[in-house]
Amino acid sequence: MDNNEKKLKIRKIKDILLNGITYIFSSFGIVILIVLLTFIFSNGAKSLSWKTITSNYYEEAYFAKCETNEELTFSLEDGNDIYYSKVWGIGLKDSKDLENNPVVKIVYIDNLSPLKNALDQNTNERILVLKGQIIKRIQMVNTNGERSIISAKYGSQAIVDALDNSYQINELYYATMGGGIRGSLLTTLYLIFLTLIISLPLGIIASLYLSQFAKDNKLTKIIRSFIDMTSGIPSIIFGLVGVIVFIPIVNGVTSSSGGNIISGALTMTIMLLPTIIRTCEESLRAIPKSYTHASLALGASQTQTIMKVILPNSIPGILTSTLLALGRIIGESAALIFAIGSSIKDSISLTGSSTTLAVHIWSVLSGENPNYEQACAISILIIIIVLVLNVLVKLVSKKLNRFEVKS
Amino acid sequence: MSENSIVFHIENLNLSYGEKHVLKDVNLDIYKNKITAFIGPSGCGKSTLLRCLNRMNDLIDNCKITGTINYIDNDVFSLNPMSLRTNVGMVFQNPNPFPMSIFDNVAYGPRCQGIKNKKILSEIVIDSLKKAALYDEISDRLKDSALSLSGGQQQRLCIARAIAMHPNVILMDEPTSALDPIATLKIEELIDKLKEEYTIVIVTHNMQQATRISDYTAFFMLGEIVEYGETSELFKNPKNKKTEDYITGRFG
Amino acid sequence: MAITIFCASIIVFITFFILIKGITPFVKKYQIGEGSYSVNFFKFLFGTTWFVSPNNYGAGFVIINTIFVTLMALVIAIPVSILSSLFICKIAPKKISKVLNYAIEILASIPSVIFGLFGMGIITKFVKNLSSLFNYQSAGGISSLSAAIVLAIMIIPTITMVSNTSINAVDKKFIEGSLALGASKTQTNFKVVLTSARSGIFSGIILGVGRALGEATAVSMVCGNAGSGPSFNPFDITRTLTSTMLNSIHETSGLDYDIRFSVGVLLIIIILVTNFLLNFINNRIGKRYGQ
Repeated sequence: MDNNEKKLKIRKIKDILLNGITYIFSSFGIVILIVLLTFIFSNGAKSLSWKTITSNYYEEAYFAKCETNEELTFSLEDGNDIYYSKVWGIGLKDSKDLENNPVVKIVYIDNLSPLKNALDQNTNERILVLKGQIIKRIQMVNTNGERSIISAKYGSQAIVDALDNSYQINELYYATMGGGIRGSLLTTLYLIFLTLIISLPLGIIASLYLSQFAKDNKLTKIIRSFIDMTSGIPSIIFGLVGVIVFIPIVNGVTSSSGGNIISGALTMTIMLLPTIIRTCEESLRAIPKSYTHASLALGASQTQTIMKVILPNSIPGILTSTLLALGRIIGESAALIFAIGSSIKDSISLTGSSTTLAVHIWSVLSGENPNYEQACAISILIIIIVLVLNVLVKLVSKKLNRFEVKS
Repeated sequence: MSENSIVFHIENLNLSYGEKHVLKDVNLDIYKNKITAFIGPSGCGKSTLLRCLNRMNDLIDNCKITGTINYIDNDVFSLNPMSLRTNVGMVFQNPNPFPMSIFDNVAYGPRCQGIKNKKILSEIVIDSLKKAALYDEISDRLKDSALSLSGGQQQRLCIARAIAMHPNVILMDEPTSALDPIATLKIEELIDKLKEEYTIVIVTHNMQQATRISDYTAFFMLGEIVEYGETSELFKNPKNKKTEDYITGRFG
Repeated sequence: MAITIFCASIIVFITFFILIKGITPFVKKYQIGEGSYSVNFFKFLFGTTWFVSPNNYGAGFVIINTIFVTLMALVIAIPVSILSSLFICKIAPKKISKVLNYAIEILASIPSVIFGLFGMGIITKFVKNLSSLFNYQSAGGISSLSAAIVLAIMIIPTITMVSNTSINAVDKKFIEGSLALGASKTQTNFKVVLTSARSGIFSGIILGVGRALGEATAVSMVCGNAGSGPSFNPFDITRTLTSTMLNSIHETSGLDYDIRFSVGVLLIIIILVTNFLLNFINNRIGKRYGQ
């Protein structure tokens, strides 16, 4: 009995060890998720704003000139890292641009500031100097009548000091902040819209055929296994197909050259079709045969039965596959780098190259100075969308199961 | 019957799954080296009682047990369930060999106990297979998958697996209900032989089987023991009207 | 009908077009500088350097490195996923297992480029610190180990989800049988549940391998695109087939662009071969134990 108890003890210790290892390993998933979300949200939350979403990626440069007189001064106190020019009535702050280079940002313009009357250097027309824009370089004439040039790299304090010493700006080189993702967001939306328009009808028709008409023969089997195999191909290979097949086709038909949104949509279509066909077919099969038989027995034709009985009942399936497809389109990067392009654009057209949000992340990270903040900001957007889609898929598939519950 | 030959002593046992009262005031003694059969209509609690004997009911949530079961003077519920189960083996309704080789199946229990020596293991395996009357049929394919055996062989393998633990008692839950008549016959012969070494408790829905192999029979209905006694007595002159109705086939 | 056949024949037509384009660099003469070149097929298959020059397109080491990185990823991912799955299905209380399961599902739906970002931002830093523990100066943590960890994180959800299905499908009679033999719950989990579910778990691993081999964006962001190899130092930079295809992709014509298709053909072949081999092994295991 003593020996037995000893053995039992050894077993217990072994069990505890094994269980301990299991606990540790299985906590990995959740730990990784938490670290990932913390990293992305802590780095990205700051730079994600409505402005980032709606503004352009590239800076837009302007050149202006402006004059003021000695009578006009502003009583503004420096503070909060903001330096105010008492002569020109503006507040400047040190900041960083997309490539992490130091820039000087305009954070305040007084209503009476002479810069409100700035003129374009070339056209002599009124030009707007706005809050949020960045100053690159200023060429001015100081109170002693000397010309001086000061650029952003000297910092806002130096610029303010120089400004307060002069009443005439010969050239104000300033720009919009840039770093917005409007272009990539638009591309993503266009791509989603186009892809769904092409792939959903194809997928629904194919799944209708497979579930309703296809005979159980060899051909059907081959078709099925081909469709399954297609879903195992890595996405980068689809990118190659986009380059070889779709880009030449689209370039031939339209005036485009190189990757474009249409070829991207076609590439996504062949990538998504297997998933769409599978999901739709499953939902079509879930419809009890008795529905179809009842409809046919009532004298409805096959087409009427499909339109009035089968399709309405397969809506949850179609919805699920749409949501799944949406998630894939938003997250896809490798294929689209080939099929649409990898350089970020601000003006988007269906026949031009651009980047989706996911490829945008890849692009800002693969340069010399990876811009983590922007990448994280876009990631927050994508993760939120993906999570919402996940919840929706769950809700819809609950509805999908209603046939099984009843029978 | 002397007192020390009692293996299981069950007193006022009540068991319920949630609201459902499955066993009601069961009192029963199970004797050493005898075959005790539990019979009764399905859902009468006979399998549940069997599963109490090696505490397999522990696995089920919201299962509440009151009363006592003594296994050779030890309270079953205070014993370590694992050491209890090594003493009280069990064979299930459907043969359930693990998806491993025949050898690994039989060696499973000893290995779990921490026996690693290959020689000892193979001795145990061969000995158990011989006792289960299976060794001659499969001696040359111990490395094959246990699932490649026929249903009857699988069930005998399960018996061998139980024997490998050197138990005192073997519980059998309708061990032949999933088998054909010839396999059933073989198992019955085996059970008869095993009685010399082990105490056997068998649940069966087949009354002929009970009469053929058992020494004692307990007749269950709706969670109660209606009648318990020597098999020959119980089947010849049942004292209770319900027992008579059941064994003559009026219901069940 | 026609549409269905079209959908099904996509795979045929993919293989066909890529194959043709992939052969081009070996057949066509490319005008580079003064001379015209085509790539030597054997140098491409067995070469150990990869530079933008017609004589240095050697994908041999890239293949080996790809397999090495995938293997490392599997070494990390397999124990984590199998134990997670066991924990979710058999050990954890219902609430915890639901939370864990949801975490795994979320991980599965996060796009690969975000894992690349995570790899660049966190994992390379971790690997850098790790390598300095070994007194090794890594390239800022950009290394085959980083790539393997990123890949592992990406395939853990895949393997776990498939394993969940097969562990949940393990017949209760096996578990009862084991417990009735005096095995503890933990022994039952490890000896019976996992062995009974092995075929399903293996299918999950096959899916994971496919995903790991084909994953492009995330790997390309943390692997460093080494110019020569093979290197089996986990802290060294590396180059995989997919990262080669994505590396400095600016030109859209010429040899440096076309050679990517040859690499694509290699990738397809390797994925098909591994898939076939692994499925073959899985079937053998399944047959051996009559499943």
